[in-house]
Amino acid sequence: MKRKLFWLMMLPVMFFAGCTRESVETQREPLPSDYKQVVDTIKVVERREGLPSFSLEAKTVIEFNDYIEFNDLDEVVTYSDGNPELKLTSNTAAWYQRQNRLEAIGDVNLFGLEEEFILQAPKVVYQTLDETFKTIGRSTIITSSYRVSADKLDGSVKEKLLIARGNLILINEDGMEVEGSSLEFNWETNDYKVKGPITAEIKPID
Amino acid sequence: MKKKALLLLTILALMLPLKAFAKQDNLVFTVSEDGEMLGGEGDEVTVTGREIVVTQGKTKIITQKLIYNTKTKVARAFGECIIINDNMTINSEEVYFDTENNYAKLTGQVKISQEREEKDITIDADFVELWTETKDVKADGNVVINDTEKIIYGDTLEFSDQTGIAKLFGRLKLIEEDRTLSSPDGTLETNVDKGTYKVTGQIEFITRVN
Repeated sequence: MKRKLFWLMMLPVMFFAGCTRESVETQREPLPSDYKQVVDTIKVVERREGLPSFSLEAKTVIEFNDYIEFNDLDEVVTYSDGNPELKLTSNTAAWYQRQNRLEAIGDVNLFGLEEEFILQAPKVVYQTLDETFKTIGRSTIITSSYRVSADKLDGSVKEKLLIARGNLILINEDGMEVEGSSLEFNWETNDYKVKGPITAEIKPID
Repeated sequence: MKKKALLLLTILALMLPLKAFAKQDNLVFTVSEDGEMLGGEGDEVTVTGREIVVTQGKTKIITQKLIYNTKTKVARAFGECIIINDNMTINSEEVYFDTENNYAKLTGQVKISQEREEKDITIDADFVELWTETKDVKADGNVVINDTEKIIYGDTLEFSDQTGIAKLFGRLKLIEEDRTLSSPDGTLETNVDKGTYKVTGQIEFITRVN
């Protein structure tokens, strides 16, 4: 009798429980085949001789077989002699740990922390071991005195040097527009060197 | 009728200041392939190269080194400088060109060659001031004017391109065919187109007698 009563009570419970499970079941998007895991937040700090050389903070991290993808990237900081040198922000970033390579993709902004300048690019590839970077897509450097746009930029954190090439144009605050074959920019001194052939035009300011 | 004349005068009076504020020509410079330009936080850019050509309106400067101040709009050229200004060609070692005021200062073995309607002339001097719009010239130090018919030496010179009148001051000497005229401290006014001249001050006149 007791067993009958038990099953009589359990049947509606099981019935409704089954219904509930059915109603909350969702279809998941298929994940990439090499997908491994998802982490909530992460901070990566690379050190050289005890001093930080590179740090990264992100909120959403997806780890693939050969790289890690960071979304909601807070900031990436590169250091020179342990001091913050450059700060990078972007929509997403892919960190290839084995190749010591970081790829920042979408609305990439690179800020000079000691000397004020901003580099804007669609994509920046940073090699943490060499401390060099290059942009992919038309990029712009903005300082307090001038603005440089070029198809390609290569930079060295160690040398504090940026080299701009391809459809290079420099515009300064006094209305001078310069076109040249390449430009070297030192972000420590804010000095630049444009290589010939050069065409410069100075428009009178109204 | 009076109203029309008044209206015409008013329009003319309004046009004059407009002409004074006429739009300045853009300054353009081109640098040969071997050249480079250095700049930074300061106001000056330094340009070097086998051939630098600076152009503004009818003025062209060819040089090998240029320092341009983006704030003051002053260009300084060094080396073997050639300034071409309409019908004037000037050689000098250094050029100071105020691009906003169309004014140039030239130093170091300055030689002006001008193709005028009547005749070609040359002016040599140590230091020259040139107003590039009017082509008026002021020269100082070892001034020599040569119009192929006569050579005039002086300490300083004022030359009006429009009238063709050159005024020379200081120690003067004029050599023409078989005549030599000199003054220790005089004034010589000559019209380079007509070939006439007038000298004031203490004069010594020597002529060859056959």
